[in-house]
Amino acid sequence: MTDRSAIPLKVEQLSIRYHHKPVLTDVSFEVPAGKTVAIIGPNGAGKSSLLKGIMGLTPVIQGQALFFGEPLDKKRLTTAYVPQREEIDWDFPIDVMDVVLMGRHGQLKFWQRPNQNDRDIAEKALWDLQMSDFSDRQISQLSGGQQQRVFLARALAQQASLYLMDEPFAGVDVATEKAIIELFKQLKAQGNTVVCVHHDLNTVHEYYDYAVLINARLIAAGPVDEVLTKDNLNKTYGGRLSLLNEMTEQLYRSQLNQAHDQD
Amino acid sequence: MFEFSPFLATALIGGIGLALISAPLGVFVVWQRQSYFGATLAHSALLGVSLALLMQTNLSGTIIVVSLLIAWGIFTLNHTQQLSSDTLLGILAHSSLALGLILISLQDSVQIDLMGYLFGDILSLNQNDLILIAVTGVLIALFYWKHWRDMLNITLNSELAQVEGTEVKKVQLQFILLLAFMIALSMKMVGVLLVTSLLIIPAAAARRLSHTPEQMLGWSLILGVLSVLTGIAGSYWYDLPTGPAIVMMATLIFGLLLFKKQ
Repeated sequence: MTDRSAIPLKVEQLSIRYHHKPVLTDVSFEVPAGKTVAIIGPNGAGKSSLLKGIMGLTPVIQGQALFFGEPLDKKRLTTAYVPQREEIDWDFPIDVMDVVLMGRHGQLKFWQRPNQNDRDIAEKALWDLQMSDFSDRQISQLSGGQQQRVFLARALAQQASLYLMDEPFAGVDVATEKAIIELFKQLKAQGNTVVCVHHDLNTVHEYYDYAVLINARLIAAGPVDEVLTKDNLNKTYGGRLSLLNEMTEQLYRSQLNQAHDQD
Repeated sequence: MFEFSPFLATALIGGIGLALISAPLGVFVVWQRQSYFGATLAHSALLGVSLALLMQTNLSGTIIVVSLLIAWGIFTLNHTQQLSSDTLLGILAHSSLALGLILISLQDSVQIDLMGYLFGDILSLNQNDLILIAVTGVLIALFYWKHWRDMLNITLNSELAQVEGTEVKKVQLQFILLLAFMIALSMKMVGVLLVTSLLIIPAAAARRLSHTPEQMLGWSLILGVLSVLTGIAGSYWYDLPTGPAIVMMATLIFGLLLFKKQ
């Protein structure tokens, strides 16, 4: 089993280049266990590249990512990935249950078939994402948000300790958004860690405990309350000051509202 | 009315064998939307033919090597050039076909049946081809026994498959290798220009009948064999060119299944 006390994700001096242009330089940070973490930054800041570099999908020129103290190769079963939702219509005859069961394949040898235990886990994962009614449905018949939930259920069925997601909230419907928030709560309650690329600054406070601010290099990493300062946001989103002032004001207000709610 | 000659026996066995090796590759070509990629490899087969004639090398072997080189070229150019992949495929498909035709026309010493290469000549199948078809069939069966689930994973999302530990590049390379084998062998039956149809049409027809990947595999095997048998029969009784007859029968089956409600 995974050592729960180990740091779920540690990024050490990661640098990525694309066509000889630096995309990310010397990024280091640690993600604590049992938290939800947002990677934020403006468009083109290298958020998705960072996640892909961490997962070994993009070659890195320097640095490494350690999962519970080890490289990804040794920790594939404890790490689940949810890719960015693609606008593709699969012409692929496969039902929802079978897609979720694929999340169990890592635990099976190539000649083994999923057993009843695997099916129970997959069913539970679908139930958790309010997709039980769709388990016999062909994946090609689902809406984009429902497809997203199937991929989340697939990751959940893997029973990992660390979940990395590329913009899970991008372009989803309200039902899916709610389902993802519930999923975050449930995963955290079990002591699991969630790391997401996130694009909407307004919702960072609401959804996440930690934030990693990126703009071609690391600006700041830490608890949301500490790192989402005007100064850090200026450094991250530099140039677009008027917009920023509005945003920081909104953030300030939402914090006030939260404070009021707690009264 | 029906005279069973050894030629016909070889043609029938070879035709069934080719249907059985095309169908399993075809389902993934359809799922991964790679039909233009398949067509490009098929077009490049004529370049293989002309090089084999020029250098007096083994025909099937040369076609396989040329197909692999073209596949490697597509892969490399796709990753280094800012070209959309269908533009790239279009350029490679037709330039390799054109180069093949030029090289063939330059060899005036031998009489070459160009039509046979372009549209196939099932009676040119021989014992050696039957053995090669059987070997390819076994290789495909072994590949799917080991990598069926990996291929499904790659089809669903290749990045996810890679993160979960599937050796995506290695598996895809093996798939392309099998595709090159299949094209080199079926070219004799249906010709360079029609090879892709053996991959795509039975699989596309099977899609109408299937709810799982395994069902689609099964149906495309059945429909592929059915197209080949009815195509050969049509060609035998009505004196039609065999390759086009097979393709038309496959298209007819596909057309009929379009009316089926899903």
